[in-house]
Amino acid sequence: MIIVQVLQGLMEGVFLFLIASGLTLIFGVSRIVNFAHGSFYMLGAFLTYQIHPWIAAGTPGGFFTSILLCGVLVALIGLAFELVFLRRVYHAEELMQLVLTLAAVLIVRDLTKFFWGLDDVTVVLPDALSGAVIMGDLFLPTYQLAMVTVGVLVLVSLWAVLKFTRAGIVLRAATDDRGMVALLGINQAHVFTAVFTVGSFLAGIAGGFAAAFESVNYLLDARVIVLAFIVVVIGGLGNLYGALFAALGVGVVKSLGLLWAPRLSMVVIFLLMAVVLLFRSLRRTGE
Amino acid sequence: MAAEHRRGNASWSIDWRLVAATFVLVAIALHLSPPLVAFAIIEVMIFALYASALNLLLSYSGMVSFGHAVYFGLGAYGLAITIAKFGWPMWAGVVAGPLVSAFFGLVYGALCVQLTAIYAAMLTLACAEITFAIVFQWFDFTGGDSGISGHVPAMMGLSPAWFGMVVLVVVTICILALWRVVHAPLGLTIRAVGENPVRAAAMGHGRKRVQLAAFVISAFLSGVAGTLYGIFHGNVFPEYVGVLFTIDGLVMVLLGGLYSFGAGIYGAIVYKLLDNVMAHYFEYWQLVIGVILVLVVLVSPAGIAGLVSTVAARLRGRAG
Amino acid sequence: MKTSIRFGVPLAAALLAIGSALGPAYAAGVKIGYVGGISGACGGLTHSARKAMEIAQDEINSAGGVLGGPIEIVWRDSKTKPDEGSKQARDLILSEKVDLLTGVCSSSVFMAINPIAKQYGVPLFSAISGTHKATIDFGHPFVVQTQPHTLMEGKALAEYAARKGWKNIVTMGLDYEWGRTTVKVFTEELAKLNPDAKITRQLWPRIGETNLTSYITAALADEPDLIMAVMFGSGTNSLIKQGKAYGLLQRTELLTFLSTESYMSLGRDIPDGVHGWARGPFYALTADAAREFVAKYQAAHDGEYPNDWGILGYDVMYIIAGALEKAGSTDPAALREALGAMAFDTLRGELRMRTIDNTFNAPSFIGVTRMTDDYPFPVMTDVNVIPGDLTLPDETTVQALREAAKG
Repeated sequence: MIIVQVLQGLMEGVFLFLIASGLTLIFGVSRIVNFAHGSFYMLGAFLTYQIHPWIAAGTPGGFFTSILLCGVLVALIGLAFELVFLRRVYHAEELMQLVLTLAAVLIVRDLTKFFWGLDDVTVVLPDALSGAVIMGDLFLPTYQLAMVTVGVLVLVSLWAVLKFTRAGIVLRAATDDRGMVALLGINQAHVFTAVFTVGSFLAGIAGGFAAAFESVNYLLDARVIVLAFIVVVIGGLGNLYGALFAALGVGVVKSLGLLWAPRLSMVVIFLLMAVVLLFRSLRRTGE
Repeated sequence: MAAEHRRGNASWSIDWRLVAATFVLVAIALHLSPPLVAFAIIEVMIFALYASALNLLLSYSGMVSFGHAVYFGLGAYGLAITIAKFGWPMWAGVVAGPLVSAFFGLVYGALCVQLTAIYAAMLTLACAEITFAIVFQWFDFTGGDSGISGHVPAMMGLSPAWFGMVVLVVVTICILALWRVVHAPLGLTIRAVGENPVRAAAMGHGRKRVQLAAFVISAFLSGVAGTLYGIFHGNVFPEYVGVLFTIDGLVMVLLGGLYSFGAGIYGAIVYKLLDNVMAHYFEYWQLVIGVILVLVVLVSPAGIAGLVSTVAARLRGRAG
Repeated sequence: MKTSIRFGVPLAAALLAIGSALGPAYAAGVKIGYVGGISGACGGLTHSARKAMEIAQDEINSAGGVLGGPIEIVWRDSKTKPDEGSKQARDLILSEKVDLLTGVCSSSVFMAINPIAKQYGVPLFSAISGTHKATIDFGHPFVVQTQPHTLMEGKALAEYAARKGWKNIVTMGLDYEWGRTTVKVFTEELAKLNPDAKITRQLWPRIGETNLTSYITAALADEPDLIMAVMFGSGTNSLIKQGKAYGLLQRTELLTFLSTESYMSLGRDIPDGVHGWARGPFYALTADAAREFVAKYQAAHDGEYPNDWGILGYDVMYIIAGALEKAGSTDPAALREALGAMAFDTLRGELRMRTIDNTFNAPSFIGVTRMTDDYPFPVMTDVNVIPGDLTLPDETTVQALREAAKG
């Protein structure tokens, strides 16, 4: 039973990583704390709900295409947001970035209410994805396996981009030292724009996957942003691989916590977040 | 632009004529208004205090709190629990409310000032979520999601106008006290630390101690606001400690205009005006707030306070 | 720059703006104040209640109204927030001078308004909130419950589980008042009704949790006869959706709260064979009045069906009208006496209110989901109507809870 729970927690963890990866990427490069990340996620979910009946409804191919398409749509929205607004405040106070992303949260939430109402919506899974791989007592739902695959794909492709491409080298440099990249004559603005777009894309597809996994409503943004913050903070702000381990850890703490301390698992996770923050700071001062 | 504003508070003295005029005006408005309007005025006053307390952190001491509703809500819980669970008399509960907030401000603040910038802000979020979870889940003590109600009569049994007077007096005293704090030696130190911690440290001001002082003061005043809110409604619920009240406070300050003393006051007026009036006609009033915030960034980073001072300066220029 | 505290001028302008936007109102006849979550978390539920209450209002008024005048309803939005609810309730009392209050929705809003009804002596009829605390623990002469509250529902569920003979049971209760109390009452009552039954595990998902997979695997590991899920809305929806891949319904039985709007939003995603409970499922009501009402409701709203809260909202209007007529005035004491002395013909059958805790003997509906040809969404079939007389807590329990609440 414990093995089943751990496995289940790991699967949930990969999905948490998918949610948080965009947020940590954006923070790592541009030091923007994107409060609107949860809103982009929610947009991805509702857009998928909206367009999936139009694209080969009921087939896995059509389903995945609509999620991908919604990811691209959300990426475009993120791109526009970055180009028109966010770009103006990179050199202003950090608080101005807070104002803008908070404004985006309020606007997206009300637009969601306007377009899709207050009721829960959900995407019906294609039959081909609604089963499970059964091994003895172990049920591995096909759809969750698909989500894990996507999470791994995202991780591997981000890793490959960061490691092997020129853009990746610039990104890593930007994460370590923003000023240096500028000194090297690379247009920082382009780097920021690209990363914000990719981050929004990741939020969008994560939301798309959620739409068929659970029942979504306009309150999704707040819940998701807090989850994403937990993962990003425990993993170390801006640290992609840290976020992976944090996400897996949070998933397992939840799946085991509900057996042993059913009412405390959330408190434990937030305590962990606080301890990690304090511990990191002590270590920094100690150096 | 922002730096200009930071140093822009040339006058430290209180303009008593202005304070008196405002006081009288609000008092008259309270007595002439029908109940719903009086309620709106009371809300504006309570949230003006809460947002001003948060503004002490944001504008003056270089800290961001992503969990300030904790100190607001714990004021109301301090009042409710001491009366409903401990059987204390009402006056004792009223005193206990803000002190509970200040105590948690001291504990959490002591942890948060160990960190800086976004890391400190994230720690305030973690502390807030832990507090919310405890308040929400500890049924026997806090009533969980059913809250605590009926421990004090709503508005102490007074009419809206007279309860409004009580709030007016308390809020005026607190905001004047906050003005003193910001402009007293302690406030100057807080601001010095907020602007440039390194330089302030060179002058012998420990960043952590000064920021902690600001944090506790802010928590205490938020607690006063929360206690008033608890009496206003005669109840307390986990919502008062929750993330929505935190966001309300932040939005008010950012709307009002960073680095100005009046940010919380202006922000509370605009926000609660939209909440109380516009919400009846247009369900999506938060969208309007969002658009205003975007405009603030693009047009007037100093927020409404900035606009008001610009307009006032022009008027004065014309008059002079 | 003294301007930084020059907030007097805009403040004054703001006050004047509010003052001109809102003003006192006056009207004759019986005035009912409705406070409910028109927007916010309850928005998805209460719209049907409002539509139904408006239909009832029209019917009553065109039949001559009550006490010689029409019924007027003043609608106020609590935004599903307790503070907003208490503010609106006070304004309805102080400036609209309403004769009574109704509505609510979330139990926190109910608990917030409850002491205000007591403070000002204005009767409060709950139509959309099921907490027992308002009428029992913190009950007072002015608050009335017209639907099965948490204690009654927990007992009805135990009754149903005992009838089915389920033995090993895993409970999955949302970790807040409703979930905790329902699980507690269910456990206690089931132990009396079926001593063989045992709760093998208690799970407590957080409210708002929608990834329930690890709860599902933990529950199924016990190979229970039943998973009793005290969840609603997005929680229930996600549980059923995610449970499918684990063969949840093939491996065990599921009993959960399924009010009509869940069927509407999940549609065919709800498989056949889930045991659901509800408070006012329109399709299971047999009274002629119910069929007429549903037809009228559909005609007025593009063929949309009323949800449970619509049924409850319609009933509460006729309860109020009937009691006012009998009392002959809006005096709260006379009203209460009338309420206790009469039987009400409601859509859910004949109901009576007892005076020890002003609670109606409202029935609970428990059945099994099935897709039929009658509706575009699945509904419950084989509905067990568990009468309120069977589930109302006895007087000793009521007194004990009231004593404990004073402590």
